[in-house]
Amino acid sequence: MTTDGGEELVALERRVLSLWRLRSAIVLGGVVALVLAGTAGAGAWLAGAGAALALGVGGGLAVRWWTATVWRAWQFRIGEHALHLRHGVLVRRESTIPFHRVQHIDLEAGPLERRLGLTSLVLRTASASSDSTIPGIDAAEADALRTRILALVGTGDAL
Amino acid sequence: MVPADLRTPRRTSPLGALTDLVSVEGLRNAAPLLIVAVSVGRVALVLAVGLVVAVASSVVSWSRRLWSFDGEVLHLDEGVFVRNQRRIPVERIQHVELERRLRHQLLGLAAVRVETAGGSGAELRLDAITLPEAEALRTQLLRARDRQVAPAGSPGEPPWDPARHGPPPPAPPLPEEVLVRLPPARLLLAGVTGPEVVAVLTALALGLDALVDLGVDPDDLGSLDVERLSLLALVLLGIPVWLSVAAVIGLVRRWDLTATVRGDELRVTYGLLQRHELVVRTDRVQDARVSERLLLRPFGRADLRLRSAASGSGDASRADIPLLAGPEIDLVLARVLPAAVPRPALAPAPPAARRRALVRGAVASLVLAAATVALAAATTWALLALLPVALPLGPAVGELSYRGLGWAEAGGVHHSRVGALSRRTAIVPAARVQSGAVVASWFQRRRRLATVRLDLAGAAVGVVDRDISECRALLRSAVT
Repeated sequence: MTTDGGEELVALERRVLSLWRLRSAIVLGGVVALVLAGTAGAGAWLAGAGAALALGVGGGLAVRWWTATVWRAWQFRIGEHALHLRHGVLVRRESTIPFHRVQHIDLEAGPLERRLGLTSLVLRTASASSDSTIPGIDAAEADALRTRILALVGTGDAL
Repeated sequence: MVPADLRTPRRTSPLGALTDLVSVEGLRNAAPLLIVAVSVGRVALVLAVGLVVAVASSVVSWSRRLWSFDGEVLHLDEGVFVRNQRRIPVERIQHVELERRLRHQLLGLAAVRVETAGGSGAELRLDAITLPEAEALRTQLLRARDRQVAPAGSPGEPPWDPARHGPPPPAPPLPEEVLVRLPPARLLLAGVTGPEVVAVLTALALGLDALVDLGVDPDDLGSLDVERLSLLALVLLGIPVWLSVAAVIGLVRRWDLTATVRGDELRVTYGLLQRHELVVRTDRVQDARVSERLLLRPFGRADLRLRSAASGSGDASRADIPLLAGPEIDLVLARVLPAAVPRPALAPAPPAARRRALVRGAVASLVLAAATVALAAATTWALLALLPVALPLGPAVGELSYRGLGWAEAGGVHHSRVGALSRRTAIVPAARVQSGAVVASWFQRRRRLATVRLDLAGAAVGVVDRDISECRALLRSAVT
């Protein structure tokens, strides 16, 4: 059974929120720069600067609020027999991935994630539709965590 | 010559990394560069820069790729910007393959492909390592896996030793049992209700169009006065031709469709001109799907699809047996998913699901009505006569889709049905479920409803719009 009761769900690392905000800021910065370049090209400096400012401030606030909301909605628990994920704001998902179904485990970290000392842990099962990524855990803990889960993977036929 | 120890992390062959550049993929990557080079006009410069970048990036990515095998887990760390560290426990390995293309053979190298079951990214490729390394790795992987999967050998059955017992006796031929053989009458029905019916209609329309293009006056066709006989004659003549052509095509394509069982193999054979044969291992069947297509429902027939977990993907791991009657479906299911029969009566979704379906239908109807009014205002108000038809349509479809919902669990097998007009029932043994989730949109949460998604090798199955607490219990029982 997968009801390893007792333990509480835990939140993602606080740094994940920084990561998401950084990523969104880069995209938003790009959009603002495009607006500035476009309007300057058309000779509408002042209107362009105003639009860019509104976009930057409005978008920034929206991103800040939305990332925080998504982050608050994200929780996971590494149980005795299964990984439990709970996430999503508009569409809520509660996923269970039993360890004995795990085919292999990937750790993935992009440049921003490495700078923040984060890594994503991906449990791969035989199903392509499994929802089994923890988007940000401490890089120092990741390897120990993976070893722990691999020890629980066991030897049964996973199919 | 033989690498003694694969435990220490090691690089792939540097020669292999460089010759990657002149492989088919490498040349394909260079093609856009060539276009740029020609359009810029400085071919030599652009190509030189491109070559330097390509060599540098392949050297860097080679230097960051390390692999090892510690006897239990295969390790591969790679990636320059995005670091990816893969670990594959041996007991998950389905298949190890050495691949030796021309460049590998010239350099004494081999690419090793390690396959795990299904899924995305469930594959690892070492391209390339030296041939002795590759052979040692394959031997060690397979030996370690066999040790893990069958720790003490199969009890009571000592391995056959040719030295002591002589050559193994020939296996007795397994009896073949015919489960279903479709009579020709039903194959005619297959053509009329299957994809052929659309294909033939399209072909007839194109043919008529072509005749007109060729200058054949439609009036000359059998001296029919199309003007006078009008559409009615065309329809009266056309429909029988259309349907009979579709029926004959169906008959030819699925000629002598037979499902047989021999040992642990289910075999589906069919076809008059082109013979098809699909084989599914009965002990590897992941799930079954019963499709009661709209056109088949009046005849009490349904299509059965069996899916198995073959390595690789696509049609190879599927077998379709169309147009079965209920007892025939049970007969096949009894062989591939014995716990699925008898098929239980499905419990309807809760009343909240009906309200959700009706509201969704009503919203669709209102949108349709608004569009009709807008169109009527722009053209003719006569269009408003459509409103009494359009308005009840959405709620009617909503009611049908609610009635289509059903779920039951019996003997560890989940049966889940969806569909308003055509109904599809997924039959999933809990033992095959890889992982699962309770998913609830905002609209569902308002009514305390949710959907359970069961992830299988090669597919996902939904149990739609049940009570949210029922969904959680269902997930716990299905995902073990």
